[in-house]
Order: sequence, then C-alpha cells, then structure tokens
Amino acid sequence: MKCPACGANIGVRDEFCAWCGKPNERAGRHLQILKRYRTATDVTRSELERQTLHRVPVFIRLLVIALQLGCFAVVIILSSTAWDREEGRIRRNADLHAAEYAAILDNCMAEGDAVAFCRFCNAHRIEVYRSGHKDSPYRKYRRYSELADNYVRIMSAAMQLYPYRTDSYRSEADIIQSIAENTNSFYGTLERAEKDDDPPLSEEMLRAAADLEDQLRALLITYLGVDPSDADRLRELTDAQRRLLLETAWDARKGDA
Amino acid sequence: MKTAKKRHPFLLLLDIIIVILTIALAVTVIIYVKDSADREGYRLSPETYSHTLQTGDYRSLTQSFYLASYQPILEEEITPELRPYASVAGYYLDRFVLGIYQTMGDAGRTEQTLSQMEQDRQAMSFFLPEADKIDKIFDSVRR
Repeated sequence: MKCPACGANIGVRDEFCAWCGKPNERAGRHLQILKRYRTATDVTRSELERQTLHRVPVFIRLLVIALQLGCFAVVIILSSTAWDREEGRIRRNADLHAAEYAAILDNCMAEGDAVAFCRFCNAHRIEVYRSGHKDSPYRKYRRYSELADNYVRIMSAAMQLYPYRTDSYRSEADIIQSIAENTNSFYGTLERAEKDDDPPLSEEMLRAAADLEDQLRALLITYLGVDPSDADRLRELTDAQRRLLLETAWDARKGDA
Repeated sequence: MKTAKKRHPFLLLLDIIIVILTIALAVTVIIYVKDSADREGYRLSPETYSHTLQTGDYRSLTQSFYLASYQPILEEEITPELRPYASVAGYYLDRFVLGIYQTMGDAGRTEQTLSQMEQDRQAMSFFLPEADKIDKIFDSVRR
C-alpha cells in the first residue's frame, strides 16, 4: 500500500511509515480485523474438537489402559496363587500317599530320630494342627509330632550356645528361657498324651515318647549342665521350677568354664 | 510455516496415564519375575551358605538344612555344589547328637552316628578343616 502522507510503499501491517514517520491508520484497523478473525477461527476449531472429541483416539487409549489394568490383575493373581497352588499340591500329595508317608514316619519314630521326623513333616506339611483333625490320616502322630517339635526347638536353641555368638540376636538368658518354655511344653504334652488322649497312644508310640524324653534329659545334662539326678525328676517339677533349674545349671556351667 | 497440531487436554491426560501405567507394569513384572527366581535361588544357592560358613555359624547352616520348620531343604534338592555345605551341617548335627547318645550310654546309636559322621567327613571335600573346628567346639563340652 501507499503511505497516505508521502506516497511511499509501506506494508499493510506497518503502523508508521518508514520514510516520513507518519502513523498509518489503516494498519491499526487491519490488525484489529485480523485479530477478530483469528479469535473466531480458534473458537470454531475448539468447538469442533469438543463436539467430535477425537472419538477414535480416545477409544484406542481407553482400550490400552484397560489392557494394562488387566495385565496388572493377572500379575497380582499369579503372584498370590503361585504359593497357594504349590502348598495345595504338597498337601494333596500328603493325603494321597498317606500310607507311604506313615511308614516313613513310623521308621523315624522307631529310630527316635525327631529331627528326621520333623523334617519330613515340615516338608510334606503334616503339621501338628493338621494331624489334630479327626479325619486326618496322621492323627495318630499328633502327640508325638508335638513332642518332636518341642524337642527339635530345644535342640536348635541349645545349638545357639555351641558356640555362643556375641553378635547373636538372642542373649544367653533368652536362649535358656526358650529352652525352658519348650521343655515345659514338652512335659505338658507328655502328660496330656498319657492321661486322656483320643485315640489312646499305642505301645510303640509310648515307647517312642519315652525315648524322646530320655534324649531330652541327656541333652539337658550334656549341653546345659543339668545334674543327672535333677534331670530324672524333671517330670515332677512345676514349670517355674524347671525354668529355675535350667537357669541355675547354665549359670553353674558358665561359672565352671 | 507448518505448526504442530495442538493435542486435546483430555487426550493428553490419557497419554500421561498410559505412560505411568506402562512404567508401573514393567516394574511390577520385573519385580515379580526376579522375586520368583530369587526365592528358589536364594534357598538353594551355594553363595548363601558360603557366607554362613565363613562366619562360622554352623548352627544356622544346620538350621537351614535340617531343622527349618518352613521349606526345609530335602535330600533330593541337595545338588553336588550344595553337598559339602550339607555335609558340614550334617556333621555339626551328628556331633551334637553324638553327645546326647553318649550321655544316654546308647552304644548302638553312638556307633551309627559315628559312622554317619565319617560319611559326612568324606563328603565335605575342601571343607574338611571345618570338621576339626566343630570337633573342637564339642570337645570342650564338659560332661
């Protein structure tokens, strides 16, 4: 366009003439019209987008999100059921092979091998609470299983004293207390088993329990320094007396050392 | 000049959600796979027991192999790499039990345990010096 003042060539958007410096009134009007058009175009475009809302891309994205959430659910279900499935398989096997497993347990019991008995029970999930069920094929082992479990716990605790590690998370007093608690539990079970057990303990079971009691006495004599005469009357003592006896015996042994 | 098409805010939000979910899913799957592999691997890895043995913690070794109340290691799971560690654990357990049988005066089981200890010694291979250390621990037990 031409400058209305000097007639020089200037752009339609130039607000002032570059040659004479006079204001270009038409440029201002032009810019205002341009702005109005742009605003109107933007409004129309956003209105169109709002109405159509990119329906296809939204659907695809929602589908992807749904698939991802599905994958999450699968991973969570897999991780939680993997353990359950394995446990279920072992337990079913224990029921299916009851006769075979019972023969192995009988053998462990006859040999007085409480460690092997507990190891087998733990590996095949023949826990005390399961053998306690009325219809369990392992019901007859209920009491022996409890006794063997107590005995192995005592053994495991006593091992912590040979050698006693100063970085151990348990103090010597805690270990003796644990031995005392399990010894009390052992004698409690023995008493219940001999008194009124259902079904009554068989001869071989009673023999095995007596053997385990002998082993427990020998363990306490050997590794805790309990006097043999005191060990012989462990059964007659109360829980508190047993605990005191073990604490005194261990203190004396440490003092001697 | 061609300008980039501006994305609708709702689509942008969905894209952000997808990216976050993708990252979270990838991390979850990696953790799940690694955890499943580690669980078995740790229990049956010689490295686990190598460290226990180095610290002289025979009781923990025995606990893992023979006294564990949950998932004890069974004989069929003991690989040739694990055998020496299992033998050290077995030797410690037998040495402990030997003291009990000797106190009981049970000659039969004492003999049986001694023979088992001899078998453990032979299976210990390069860990044989551990047997002497274990003997030393129990020799000091006053009866």
